[in-house]
Order: sequence, then C-alpha cells, then structure tokens
Amino acid sequence: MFRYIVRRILLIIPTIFLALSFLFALFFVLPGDPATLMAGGANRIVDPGVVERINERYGLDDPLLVQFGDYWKRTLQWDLGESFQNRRSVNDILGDKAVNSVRLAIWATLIEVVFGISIGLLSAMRRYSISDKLTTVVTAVASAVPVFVLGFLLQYAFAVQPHKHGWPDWMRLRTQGIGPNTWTLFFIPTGQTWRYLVLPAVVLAAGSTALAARMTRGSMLEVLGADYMRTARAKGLDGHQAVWHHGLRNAMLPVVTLIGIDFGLVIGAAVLTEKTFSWPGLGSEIADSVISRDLPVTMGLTLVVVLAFTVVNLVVDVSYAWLDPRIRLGQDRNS
Amino acid sequence: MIEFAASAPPLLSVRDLRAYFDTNDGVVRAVDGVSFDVRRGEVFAVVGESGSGKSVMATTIMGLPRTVRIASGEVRWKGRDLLQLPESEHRRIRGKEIAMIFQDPLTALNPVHQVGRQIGEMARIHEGLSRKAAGRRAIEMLDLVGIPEAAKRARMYPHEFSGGMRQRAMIAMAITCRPDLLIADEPTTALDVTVQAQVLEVLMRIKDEIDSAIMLITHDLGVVAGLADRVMVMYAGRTVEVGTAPELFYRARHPYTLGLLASLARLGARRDEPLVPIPGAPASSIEVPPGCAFNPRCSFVSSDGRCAQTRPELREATAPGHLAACHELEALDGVSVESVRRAGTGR
Repeated sequence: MFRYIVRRILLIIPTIFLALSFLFALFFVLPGDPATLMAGGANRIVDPGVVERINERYGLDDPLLVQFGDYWKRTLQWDLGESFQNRRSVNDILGDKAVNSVRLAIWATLIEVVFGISIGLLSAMRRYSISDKLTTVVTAVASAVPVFVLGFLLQYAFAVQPHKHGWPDWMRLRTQGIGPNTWTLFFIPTGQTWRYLVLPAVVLAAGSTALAARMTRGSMLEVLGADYMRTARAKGLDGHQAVWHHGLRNAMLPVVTLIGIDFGLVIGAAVLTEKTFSWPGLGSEIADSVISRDLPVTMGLTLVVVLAFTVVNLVVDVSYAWLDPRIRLGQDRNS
Repeated sequence: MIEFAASAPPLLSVRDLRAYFDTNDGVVRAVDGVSFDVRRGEVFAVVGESGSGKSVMATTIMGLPRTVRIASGEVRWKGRDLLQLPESEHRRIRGKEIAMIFQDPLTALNPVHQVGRQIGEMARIHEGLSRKAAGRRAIEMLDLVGIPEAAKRARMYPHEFSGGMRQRAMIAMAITCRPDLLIADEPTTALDVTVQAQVLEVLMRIKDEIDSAIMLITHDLGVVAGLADRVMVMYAGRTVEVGTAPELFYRARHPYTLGLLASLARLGARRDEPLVPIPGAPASSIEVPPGCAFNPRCSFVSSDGRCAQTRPELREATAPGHLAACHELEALDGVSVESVRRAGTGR
C-alpha cells in the first residue's frame, strides 16, 4: 500500500508538467497578442511604442524556450503574474476566490456523498418499490434540469415566497453573494453565512447527487447478485449484514471515482451556479477572464484548478486502492 | 457399515420437494418432486446434467434462493422442517450445521476481504468469537485443508490464491463450525483436472476428521465413483435412480443412468472407440412431458405408450434401497452398460 501511494505521488510530477505546458501553449494559441491586449485591448488601436515596451518588459520577444523557462521559474515560485485588466496580482485574486470555491465544493460534495449514496442504496435494496421508481424519476429530472432553472426555482421557493408572505426569519434563505463570509474550521459557516450557502450548495450538488444515486443503485444491484453475496448468506449472515459487510465496499468502487471527478468539477466548473447566486468563486472568475482575454488570470486560476484535480485524483486513487486490494497488490507485483 | 447407517435416523430427509420459478415463459419446474435421505457421515452424491435441478435443490435446502417458489415438500433436518422454520432460526443452521461449498471459488469469495477474515467470519457469526480468536481459527482451518504457511496465506486476498487453493479456502470456510452436513455444489468443476483430485482428496479427509456427511453435487459420474456411499441420479428435476454406489455403477437399471455410464470415456478403451452420447437434448423444465421426462430420448420405451402418458414412480430395482423410476424395469433386467455402449456405437 505504501509503495503504491509513493508511486502514485511521483506520477503527479509529469501530470503537472504536462498541464503547465498546455497552459503555456494556451498563452500563444488564444487569439490576441498579449502585449497588444495589455496595452489596451483587442478592439482599440494602440500605440506601437507601448506594445514594444511591454514586449521588452515582460520578455515577450524572447525565444519561446526562454519564455517557457521563465514561466516555469515564476510558477514554481508561485508568482502567477498580474491581471492585464487592473494590474491586480493573480495570487491575490486567487486567495479570495479559491477559498470560496473550495468551501462551496466541500458542501456540494458532502451533499452528494450523503444523499447520493444513501438514496442509491435504499433504491437498490427496495428494487421496483414505489420509492425506487420515484427515485428513478426524480434523479432523471435532477440530472436533466439546467442549473440556472433549478437555481431560480429554488430562489423563488425559499427566498422570494417567504419574503412575500412574511414567513418567520429562520425559514428565509438568501439568494445572492456570500453574506458575512464567516467560517469556523475552514468550512463550517457561522452567523448568517449559512443562509447564503444553502441554495448554491444544493443547486451545485443536484446533478452530481442524482448521478451518484443512480450509479450507487446500479452498482449495488450488480453486487447483490454476486456469488459472494450468496456465500455471505450461506454463512448465516442476514440480508442487512451481508450488504453491510460484503456488499457495500464492492459497490462503492465505481462511486468513489465519480465523486472524485465531481469534486474537481465543482471547484473549477461551477460557473453557472456561481453566476446564478453571485457566489464569488473561481469558476465565474475564470469565465470572466476568458471573456475579457485576461490571460494571466485565466492561466493562474486554471493552474490552481489543475492542481486541485490532481490532488483529488490522488485521493481517489489511494482510496480506491484501499477499497480494492486487487489494484493495490496487482500493482506491487507487476513492478 | 451401510447397514448400520441405514438403521439410524437420517440427518436430512427431503420429501416430495418441488421448487418452481415463475417466469414470463411459464413455470420452470426446477425441482419436481424429489425425495431422499442423507445419513450421518455418508457421502451422498447427486448426479445430473446442467439444468437437472440439482443446484436449485441444494440452495433450496439452504434457503438461499429468493425467487424460488416452494410448491410442496418438506426438508427435515434433525426432525425440524427447514422450510417452515422462521428465517432467523434457519440462519442459525446455515453455515453452522449445514455449510455449502460453491462451484466457482473465485466469484464465491469476496474479492475485497482477506481470506482469513472470510473464514473467521463463520466463527464470529455462530460462535461469537473475537476478531483475534476468529483469526486464529481461520489459520487453523487453512492448515487443516493443507494450505502451506497458513498464517501468511490468511492475510492474503482471494485473487492471490490459485484455483485449487481458493477452493481449499472455500472448504476451510465451510468446515469452520464443524457442520454435520457439507453441501458441495460442483466443487471441482471450475478446476484443472489435476487439481480436482487434490481438492476431492482434501474434502474426503476433512469429512472423516470433522465427522460430517457430504452431499456431493456433480454432473460428472467419474468424480462420484470411489467417493460416494450412495448416488442419486436426477433428470429434469426428478429422481430417476438412487442406490448405493456399487449397485448404481454395476447394476444400473434406469435407461438414463445406463446412458450416462455408457457415455463415460474409459481408460484402456481402444483408440478408435467413439464416445457414446445420449441422443437428443435435455428436457425443458417448462414444458414437462406428462409421462417420463426422459422418454423422448429413451431407447427402451414401452410399446403400450405408458412412458409418454404416466409418470413412473420410484420402484425397488435390484436390491433394497436401490430405486429406479422406470416403467420398463423388468424388461431392463440384464441390460448392461456394455450392451448400451455397443448399441450406441452400432458395433
């Protein structure tokens, strides 16, 4: 197990190298010359002298390899450059947004894990019951409804309506922003912050929770039909013990992968949710920077998303190996 | 020995067991009125081709299939009818008094748990052993079935075992609580021929050591020879012949049994001697013919049409305890396996 983890961590190095190289290429592939952009933007006529000075100052005229080397050096020193738009350091922008994103992602993933898995398990164990059929319909709808539609519906139901009809204060949720933005233990909201967190977290989690539920159901049904489950009952375990001791771990294997991918996604690709609820996160910031061609911001923030993905994938792979000895030991023997 | 065993009350007594599956195509009569006894300490073999209902019968005795409908019958275990027992009490017998060994040990063992833990679990369930004590018991059991370095092996996972070792582990699991009856459902079918013999040897040695009876289910008469005390041959969910092993092998009376024996490959046969199959295809369990299920394939069908009309009951054949379900028993007197073989090859 230990060797597996070490090997898996070493694999991160080429992953990150490749990702950074792609990001660097992005700088040259995206339309618009960086220096021109910096001098005033793509749509205005800029002073060629200014462009030249910018090129000189940032080394944009240097050979590609030198620039590539510089980029590496800066990135390894965690200097992500500054925004073309307002000269703000990307590190600063990142500091706020990344933390907000991760907090939202943690809650969305918690919802996915708790509700997705338990709903899927119940569905599988009561196959073809009314609640199973209901779950099938609800999860299909939840994964099909666009985030903004669900977002607006929930805003209406839990914020607009309570306000209109003067419901008690504790029932009212907020729809915009992050509120007082106070937290304890990094991710637990304090004060009024939870009112701002609930709706975006639920909306962000909706699709992936539905998927997790469906996948858990399918996976559990497959496991319930497995020979080793029959063995478990032949040993004298009752149905629930058999599921708990022999089924769960096997059924969780594919679900763990899904949840890992989802966690990466909700950090970087929560644009729609963040926009709908004005949640100041990474996704909307990246989207904004792409639209305004603010390349350093795009690159810096994307780099962080890449890193987050890499780490989450590592966690997924390690937990996968922990769950399934065939992976862990198979790797050891072949090395 | 056999006489003594016969006088003692049977351990397991199955009477007129009918286990059906209701499907969209009709009722599948997987087990269709089977009766037999298993006596303490004996090896009782159940032989039949795929689909003859032997596995369903075994799992029904264990109370495992969820979709099966028990249409009639009783499964008397030490005097109690298992089919009437509440699930919670049946569970206490499962594994402890009647344990089962499955066909494919790779899929029957849980891939994500250590072998030792899976064996020890048996003792934890039925004897309330601590995790530690169960671990020690598991090593003991692995040792008993002849797995070298048992302590090390106990910490390994099923996929790290070879096929033969997996089946030994399966046996170790089944005998952990020293059951009175081991039901081995095709225990060697998934194994190489060379390993088959070893596993059977382990099974027989263990049987003597823990003094249990074995119900050995197989499609292979060759496996049964020399191991079984008594043999029951099943066809289309019914018993066609049952008797002591010598009776059945040397004085078989039912045409199906004769066909099975004639179809065995023999050592010392001439190189050009063809194998003799039983003509036709196994009977469907959905559209069961009203008479004898074997009659469409039988070459001894009576001329008066009884075979297609009425279902033959088990009757005494050559000796007490040797029963065969055939209308033409008397006419078959004197028919030998050799003559069936000759008829089959046309020589």
